[in-house]
Amino acid sequence: MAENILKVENGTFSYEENRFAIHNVNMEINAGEKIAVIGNNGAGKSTFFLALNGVIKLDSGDIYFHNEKLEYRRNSLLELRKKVGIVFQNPDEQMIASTVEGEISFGLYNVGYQKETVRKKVDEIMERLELKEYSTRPPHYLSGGEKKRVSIADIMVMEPEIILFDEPTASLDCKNIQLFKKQVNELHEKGVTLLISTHDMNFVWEWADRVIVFSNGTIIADDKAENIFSKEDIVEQAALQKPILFDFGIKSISI
Amino acid sequence: MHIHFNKKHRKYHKHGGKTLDIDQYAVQSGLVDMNPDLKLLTGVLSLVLCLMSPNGITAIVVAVFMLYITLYHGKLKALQYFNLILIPLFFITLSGLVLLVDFSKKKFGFFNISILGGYLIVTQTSMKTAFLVSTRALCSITCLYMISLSTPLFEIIGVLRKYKVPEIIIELMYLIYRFIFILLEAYHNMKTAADTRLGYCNIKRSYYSFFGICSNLFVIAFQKASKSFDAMEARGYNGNLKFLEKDKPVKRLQIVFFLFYCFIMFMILVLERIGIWQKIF
Repeated sequence: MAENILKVENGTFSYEENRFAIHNVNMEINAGEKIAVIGNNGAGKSTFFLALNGVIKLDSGDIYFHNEKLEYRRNSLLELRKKVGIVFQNPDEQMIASTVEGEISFGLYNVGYQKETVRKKVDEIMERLELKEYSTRPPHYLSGGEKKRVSIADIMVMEPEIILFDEPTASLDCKNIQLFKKQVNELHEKGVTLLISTHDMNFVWEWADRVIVFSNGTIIADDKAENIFSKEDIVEQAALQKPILFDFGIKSISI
Repeated sequence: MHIHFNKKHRKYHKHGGKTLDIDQYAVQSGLVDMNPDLKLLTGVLSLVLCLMSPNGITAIVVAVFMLYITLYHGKLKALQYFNLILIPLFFITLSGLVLLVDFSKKKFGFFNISILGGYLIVTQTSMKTAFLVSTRALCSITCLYMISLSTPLFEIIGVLRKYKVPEIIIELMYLIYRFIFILLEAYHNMKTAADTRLGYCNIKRSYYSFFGICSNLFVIAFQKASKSFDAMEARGYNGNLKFLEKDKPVKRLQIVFFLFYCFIMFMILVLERIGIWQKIF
């Protein structure tokens, strides 16, 4: 049994009164898992991610990190954010610095590293994600794919245990999606736990060990991909589209 | 807007949308690798020299030097520079005109037009004042342009932080700078979208589209700001903005050159102030 890293118990949060963004969410995340989070727009995926990182404080319910209850205090929040990273959907919202290397260094300085360490780590990650040649350029002038790589580097450089990707492939072209898959696989091999929210069911089918389905702020299913797509009621309730390979597989079995 | 950078030629290729030209020129300036402290010091010192110049002679010499640095070492095209200086030039010319022309009941001065029972006059003194003020202002602008066309804003902010400008101002500068880009891009996208729906087909519709975009921009700015803040918090932001910066040490030759420049300029200023030019001419 893999080690339990993050656990949510009865997590509830609403932006407005009486309209839950997430409602009574219970789940456990274990080390090294590859989890896909699916569900239609506004189902609560992004809110769920923000809650896991402590950016939004749950109205009720608890979050446990390594079996320790999260107190919303500065130090424990900092510790959580160091270990749980979010790559936001739109890189422009995430970027804040004026050079690529400055941007990547932001999280490291927040955690409290000294300049020499920051320089070393930033150089390493730029080398790995092929960003070296852009190091002193302003990130807002880069192309979409390059921006995405920078936004991933932002988080990877902090060496978190869990990385949450919020619809990472939504704005990428085919080539960049391939690159992204490669990076994600490398991360998995390094033992990083990954949660990816996406609408790309073929990607889910191909990649995920475990699928979590959100609908109207609650988790309606949490299982292996084949079990989820074979349950018609879940597919219908969350308005999912079945992966091509799954459909093809079912047809060939019935023939 | 996307700009692709060509390393060999150090040039940006821009597709559509006009963002902040000055910022781009600064990033691709030939002086971008020079120590920002030195650039700022040179600029500010030159500015002070301009303002202290009693007859505008030092100011003109400073301006020539600033132009030389910006255009030759900064590798900026003269046309680009001219386009940038056109706006301040317009305002300076206007204010110069106001200083130049006086209204008087009596007819005097070496130029006058009768108007509304009085005279618009130009005197020797008003001409001198107009010339001096305009020259000083224009020359000071060349100093500021030297700084802003060779040093990206975040480096200027970095220098200010080093010299203990309060953290809150530093942070505001960073965030405002970042948000200018976000807002400009949002504006540009909305404008294009309005344009595709014929939002600018005539003047009336143009006004309508423009004000619609402006009010939406407010909402979008607010949304983007809150998302951006979420993203900062997610990376452990705790009220202290700090980024990795490239070290740009000062070269010995640059210091020698800088000291030489200071010496020459100071001499010219002293000579000007003791009135040596009047004695010669």
